[in-house]
Amino acid sequence: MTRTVQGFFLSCGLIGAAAFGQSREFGVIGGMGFAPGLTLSGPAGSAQTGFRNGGVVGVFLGQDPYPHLGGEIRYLYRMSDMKLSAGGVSTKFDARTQIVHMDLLLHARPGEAAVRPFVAFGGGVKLIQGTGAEASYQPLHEFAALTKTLQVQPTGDVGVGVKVSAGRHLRVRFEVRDYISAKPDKVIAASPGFQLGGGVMHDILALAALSVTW
Amino acid sequence: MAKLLCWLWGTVLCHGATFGTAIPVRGTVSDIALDERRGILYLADFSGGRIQALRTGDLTFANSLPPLDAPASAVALSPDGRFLVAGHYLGFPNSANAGGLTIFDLDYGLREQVSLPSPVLAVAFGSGRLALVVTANQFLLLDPETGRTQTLDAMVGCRSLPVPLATFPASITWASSGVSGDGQTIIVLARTGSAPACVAESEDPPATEPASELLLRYRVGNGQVEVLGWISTPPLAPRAVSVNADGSAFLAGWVLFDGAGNLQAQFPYALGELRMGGVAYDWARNRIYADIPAAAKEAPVLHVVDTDNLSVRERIRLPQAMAGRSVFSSDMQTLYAISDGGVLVLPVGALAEAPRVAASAEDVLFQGDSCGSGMLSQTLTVADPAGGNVDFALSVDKAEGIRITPASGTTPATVRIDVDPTVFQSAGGTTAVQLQIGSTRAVNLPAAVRLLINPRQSNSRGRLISVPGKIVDLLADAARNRVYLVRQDQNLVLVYDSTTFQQLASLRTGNTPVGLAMTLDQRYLLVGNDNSQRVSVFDLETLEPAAPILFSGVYPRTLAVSYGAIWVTGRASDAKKQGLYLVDFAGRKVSTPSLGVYCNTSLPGSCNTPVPADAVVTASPSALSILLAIPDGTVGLWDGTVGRWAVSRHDFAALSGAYGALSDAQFVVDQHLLDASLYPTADLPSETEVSSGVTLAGGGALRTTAAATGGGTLERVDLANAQSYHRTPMFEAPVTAASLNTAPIGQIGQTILPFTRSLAVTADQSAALTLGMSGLTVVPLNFDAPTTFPVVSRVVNAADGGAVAPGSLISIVGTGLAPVSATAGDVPWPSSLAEVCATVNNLSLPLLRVSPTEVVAQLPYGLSGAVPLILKTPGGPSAAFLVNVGSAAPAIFHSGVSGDQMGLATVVRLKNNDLVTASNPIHPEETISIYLTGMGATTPPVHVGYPAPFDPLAAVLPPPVVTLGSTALAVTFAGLVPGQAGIYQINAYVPHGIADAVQAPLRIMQGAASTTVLVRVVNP
Repeated sequence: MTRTVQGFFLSCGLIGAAAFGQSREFGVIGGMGFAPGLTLSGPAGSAQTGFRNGGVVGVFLGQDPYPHLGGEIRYLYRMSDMKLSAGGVSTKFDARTQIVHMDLLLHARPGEAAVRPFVAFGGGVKLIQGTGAEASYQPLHEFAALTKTLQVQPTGDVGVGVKVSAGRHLRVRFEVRDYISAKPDKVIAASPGFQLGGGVMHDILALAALSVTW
Repeated sequence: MAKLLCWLWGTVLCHGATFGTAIPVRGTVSDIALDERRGILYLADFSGGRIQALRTGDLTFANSLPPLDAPASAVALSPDGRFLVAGHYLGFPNSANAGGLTIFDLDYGLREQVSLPSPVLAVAFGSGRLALVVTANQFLLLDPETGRTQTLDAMVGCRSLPVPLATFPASITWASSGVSGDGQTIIVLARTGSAPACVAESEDPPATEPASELLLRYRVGNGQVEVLGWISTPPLAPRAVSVNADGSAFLAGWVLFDGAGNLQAQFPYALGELRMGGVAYDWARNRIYADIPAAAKEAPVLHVVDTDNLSVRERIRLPQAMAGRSVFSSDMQTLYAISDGGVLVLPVGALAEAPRVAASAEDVLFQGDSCGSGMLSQTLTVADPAGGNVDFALSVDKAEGIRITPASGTTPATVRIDVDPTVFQSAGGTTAVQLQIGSTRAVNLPAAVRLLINPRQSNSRGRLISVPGKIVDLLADAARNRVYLVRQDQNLVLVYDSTTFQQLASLRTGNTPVGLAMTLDQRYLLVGNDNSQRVSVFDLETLEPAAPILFSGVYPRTLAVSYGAIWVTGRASDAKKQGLYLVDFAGRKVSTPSLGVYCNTSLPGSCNTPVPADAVVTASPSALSILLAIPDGTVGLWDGTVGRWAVSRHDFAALSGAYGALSDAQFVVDQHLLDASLYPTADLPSETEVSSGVTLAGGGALRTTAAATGGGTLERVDLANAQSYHRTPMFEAPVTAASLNTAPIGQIGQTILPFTRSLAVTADQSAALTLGMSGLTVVPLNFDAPTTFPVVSRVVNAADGGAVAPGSLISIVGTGLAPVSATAGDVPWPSSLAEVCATVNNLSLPLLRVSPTEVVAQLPYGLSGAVPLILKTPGGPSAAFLVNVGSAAPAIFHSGVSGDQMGLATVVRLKNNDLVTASNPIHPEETISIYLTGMGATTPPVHVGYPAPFDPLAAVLPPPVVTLGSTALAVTFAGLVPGQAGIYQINAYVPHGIADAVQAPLRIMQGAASTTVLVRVVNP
């Protein structure tokens, strides 16, 4: 883990920041994920699909090498059962999503400030895994099949938040992130004649975190 | 061959083994008593005047008890085993027949003699201390400790001494007794007598005369004596009594009585010879063992029968005939019985383990088809019910055209029977051949198997529903969509669904059921029984028995239910009671009132011609009329509107065959049409046939007839114009009195009336049902509709509609391919279904399914190139259709169904045993099964239309090549699905690195032929 973090900072050209007395941060994070629906459309009609809202938990490790610039790496586990509905009929399929990503954080105030609003952006990898029980018959199969399989996608994210000092080495933060990735066309496999619309998929996470700094 | 072996080896081998051990006794045994404490069976030796002692351990004789010096007629042991009481004649030959008792105190070695004025005929102990003693002029209670007696009044008969040579005790004493298992009830069977009680041979009543029998029931607990009198023809013989555990039923001679003394059932064929035979009620196993000779000098046979209606379960060979009393050991494992030459020791507890032999089916049906197929084959299992290895030999009474392989061997064995239908073609209809089973080791007399061979005439109609046994009557239940069949040989009413023809239930009747009727509310089924003095009643809602209607001295046969009256024909044991009987169903009462202005029974008026036993009655559909038909040509009509027998006429010399009340104004008896006054208005054409059945159908009537040979005919009857038309040959002839009458087997009852009711129509009016030799023949009610000529337009495989290969399941598509839709049951599939058959190169195809537009069948193996296919229907044969048969044509079935998804390829993931779909895709490292047809011959080969074996599996060699996408799958099995016909299975393993694909091609290649389906693959 340590080597990976160093690699991240190297890639960002921040190797010299340690000389300016930067602080490090480790925290746990959690919240809720909200995924706008995707539309399956075809000549025979359309259906709504995507992932159900669900809880998110994770951990992160960050570093502020400059007063207004920081970076962090994060792992998130999101409960994200898949859903499919059309014509008053709906079905679901157990699934989960795991995200590993790295971000740059631009803070509005320097590191010693008690309240530090920030914006973040970055990218990483999203692993979407259908875990439900497979069966030859699935309701609304004419639109799509929700599949027990693993789909790995690159993902980008943007977000805003605020860090609040809760003690000399303790911080809380609140943030909203949007994880943007390609359509999950393997776990949600459109039936012949249907397509997943919408170009990309958003997964908006409202998060709160508690961290220690040193 | 089997017959030849029998001839070479002699009769002993062919007659087989016997059950039990016969112990010769130097003397004549009149009675026995078992002393288990001492391990002794005491034998009363009548002619030797002594009590012999047989050790039950090694079956050797111990010293006899001190001689009686008088003919020992009875012996009994007190319950505590202390006193042995021997009854005897006394004073003979020096004085007139007197009697006496000798009481042996076995514990103290004492002996006491009691003189009596008349001979002792029977002695019995119950659970009490007193013995019941039957003498020729009184009943006594004996206290063996004091020798004192007290008298109960009665007079019984016996024969006085001396008697001629070769006269045995039972023919002298005329009495016997039996004790219930709980010792509380003693039943005595004797002949009613008058002074002098014992008569000389010259005064002996002839066996043909009705015997006046006396049944006495002594209740040990309260000392009550109940006397029942019976007039019996022939006498209640053998002179043996056996009582069940609690005295609620007992056997006396050839009759089973219930606890109230009503005749519950009787053995159908009784000689009335007092000394031959025996009965034993085994309450531990709920069976009765009976040796009731049906003919003089017949080989001794022990019948194992049911305790409710004397249905014969098994027939066991005995080394010697039973001849009187029998007693069980206390553990009910051994039965000791007086025998013709001494004593029989029968280990009945081990009977289930005794070597026996039996076939797996009562009937084996060989149905040909109009395609004139080759040999018809069926298999039969011959086994020992005990699971042992017993030799057997099979033989048939008509060997020509029948091959049995193997004809002899050791059980268990599967026997193949091949029949050449051409040999039986000229006979027409169904030919019954008896397959006899012999064995040198088996102790039983196995029932013969009927081989029912019907080559089928090309123009005949109907399909057979096999119903084994002697079916003598049927009744349709429109309210419940059922048909009830009387199976006379097993004392059953069989309940069938009249749409599916699945048997729903079997109802146990009295002995030898004859006729059926339903109550007006359609709630109860009534069954007349010719060897039970009762009408069996069944609740049709629950199919449970209800309270029977008891008759006294009358055996009811046929019944008709009208408003306000249920009339019954029957057989009276006393000619004076012969007549027509009226039943009050609610009160379960029977009477014999006068028939309006017509006389009924001989008493009180002088009715010279009472309604005979072989008359029949039947009600009209409205239940306002009842038709009575009598074989002497007399008919009668009950008018339910006035409650009178309104008409009786005698216009014919004789009557028989079909009978029916089609309406309140139209009646049919044989070929005669009768109007409301029973005036014969016309005769239907009969030529040389015998009428069998008649019934209403639609706006007219249907009638069946049977000729001496052939399948019989079904025709419509125009009642208005008294004409029959659209005469159509049937697959099998309907039953007639002549065809139903067969040689009786043992004590299995058979009562065949000259009239037959063999035709009914299903509740939905779609088919006519006729009783035939094989069971039911189902003829569609549109049997006379114009038939369509079959036209075959296409022949493809039944899996994906593509090419065909040897062994393929094929779909024959066209028009007019079948008169109705039908599906074969389990494999093997028939070569004829719903009157349709098909050939390729003159080889019959087994048929799975037929409909007017499609026939699904299996192609034979060994075909190649263009072969002609011909389909034959009642509309005629199709033109030959050339089918191109490749060497292989694998085709995956598209018959999978999942939810609302139809036509799925039959590719199954073994991981969840579910069809592969987009939501159940193939994953790496798992096995899939693919179901298909058209993969050709297998090793071992499997007969077309027959199920593939489970062990060894029938494999396709070499195995096919299977690829998924660009990856080859390892094939772990390719061959026929066990238990299925024409369906193949490939098991293939999907490797680790299989690539994702929404629609990956799954391809099966066999030689140059291949087939492909698209499946989804995900990894992982």
